[in-house]
Amino acid sequence: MLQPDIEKSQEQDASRDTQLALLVVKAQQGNGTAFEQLFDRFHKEVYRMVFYRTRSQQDAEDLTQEIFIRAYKKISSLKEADRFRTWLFSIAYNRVRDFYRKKRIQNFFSLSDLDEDALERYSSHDRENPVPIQNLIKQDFWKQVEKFLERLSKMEKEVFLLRFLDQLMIAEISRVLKQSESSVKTHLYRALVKFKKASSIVELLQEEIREY
Amino acid sequence: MNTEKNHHLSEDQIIRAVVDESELSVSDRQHLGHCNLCRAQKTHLEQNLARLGQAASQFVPLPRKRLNLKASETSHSIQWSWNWKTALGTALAAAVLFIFMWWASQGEEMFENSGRENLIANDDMASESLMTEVDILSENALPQEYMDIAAETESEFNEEFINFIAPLIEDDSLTFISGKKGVQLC
Repeated sequence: MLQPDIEKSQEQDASRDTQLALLVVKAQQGNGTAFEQLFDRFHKEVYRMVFYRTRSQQDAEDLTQEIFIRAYKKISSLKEADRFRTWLFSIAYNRVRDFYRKKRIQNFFSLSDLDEDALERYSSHDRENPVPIQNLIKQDFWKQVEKFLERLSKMEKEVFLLRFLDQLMIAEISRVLKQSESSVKTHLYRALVKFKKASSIVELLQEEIREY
Repeated sequence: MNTEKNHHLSEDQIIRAVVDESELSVSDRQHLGHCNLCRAQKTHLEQNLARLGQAASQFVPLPRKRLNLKASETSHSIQWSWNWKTALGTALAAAVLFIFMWWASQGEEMFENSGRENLIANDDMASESLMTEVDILSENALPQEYMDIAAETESEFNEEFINFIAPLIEDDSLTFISGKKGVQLC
C-alpha cells in the first residue's frame, strides 16, 4: 500500500520537474509568459528567503524584484534547465550578500549599527500591525532565531538557513554556496550541535509555536 | 539488551544522521534501523528543525505590495531611463566643459604666440640697430667731432707726396743693395 503511494509521488515529482524544465527552456527562448509562470511559482519562496536574512518587508520586496530582474536578464546563461531553483537561490544569495556589503558601508559612514536598524524594523512593524499578541509571539520567535543565529559562524548560519528554512538539499546548497558537499555537511553538523544546545529556541518550538 | 544499550548512537552520531544518514557506518545505520530509542532521538531533532522551518515560513509578513514581474520590469526601465538621462546629461556637461577648456587654452596659446612673435620682431629690430652701430664704430672708432678735427675724410694725399715721405724700397737703391746677400759696400 505504501510502496505505490511513494511511486505515485515520485512520478508526480518527475512530471513537475519536466514541466519546470520546459518552462525554463521556453523562457530562455524569450517567452515572457513562461518567465511569468516561473515568477509566480518561485517569488514567494525567494521573498521568504530574503526576509529570513534581512528581516525587513521593504528590503525583501525590493530585493525579490531585483533578483527576478537579474534572473530574467541572465536566464539564457543557465545551462541546465532542471537546476533553475538552485540557480535562482544562488542569485538571491549573492544579491543579499551585496545588499549587506552596501549596508555595511552606509552604516560605517553614518556611524549607525545593523542591530539598531533591525530593532527599528521590528518596532515599526509592530506599530503598523494591529494584533498585539500574535505580534509578541512573532517578535519573540524572531528574537530567539536571531539570538541562535548569532552563535553561528557566517557559513554555519548560511548552511543552516538554506537547509532548514529554505528547504534546500545538501547538493543544492553546495551549488548555491560553491562549496563541496563535505564542507556543507561539516558546517551543518556544527550548526546542529549549537542548535541542540540552544535550549531557549528548542523550548519555544515545543511550546508556544505549537499552540500558535 | 545490555549489548544493544552499549551500541546506542551517541549524540554526535544522531546529529550526523540528521545531516546525512549515509555518513554513518553500516553497523550504525543498521542499529538506527531497528533501535526505537535512537530513531526517536533522531526524529525528535528532525521534528524540531521542521517546526522551526514551518514557524519561520508562517511568521514571514506578507508583502505590502503585490510582487509583479511587469511592475519590476517597469520600475527597472524607469531606473534605466533615469540612469540613461543622467549619463547623457553628464556626458553633455563634460563635452561643454571640455570645449570651453579647449577654447580657453587655444585662446591663451594664440595670445602667447602673437606676443612671442612681437617680442621676436622687437628683438630683431633692436639687434639690427645695434649691429649697425657696431659696424659704424668698427669702421671709425672715433666720434664724428674728432674726425672733423682730424679732417681725415677730406685729406687728399697724392702718391708723389707719400713717396717723398716714405719712399718705396725698390726706389731706395742703397738700401735695396745692402739688403742683398754677398754685396759688400765700401
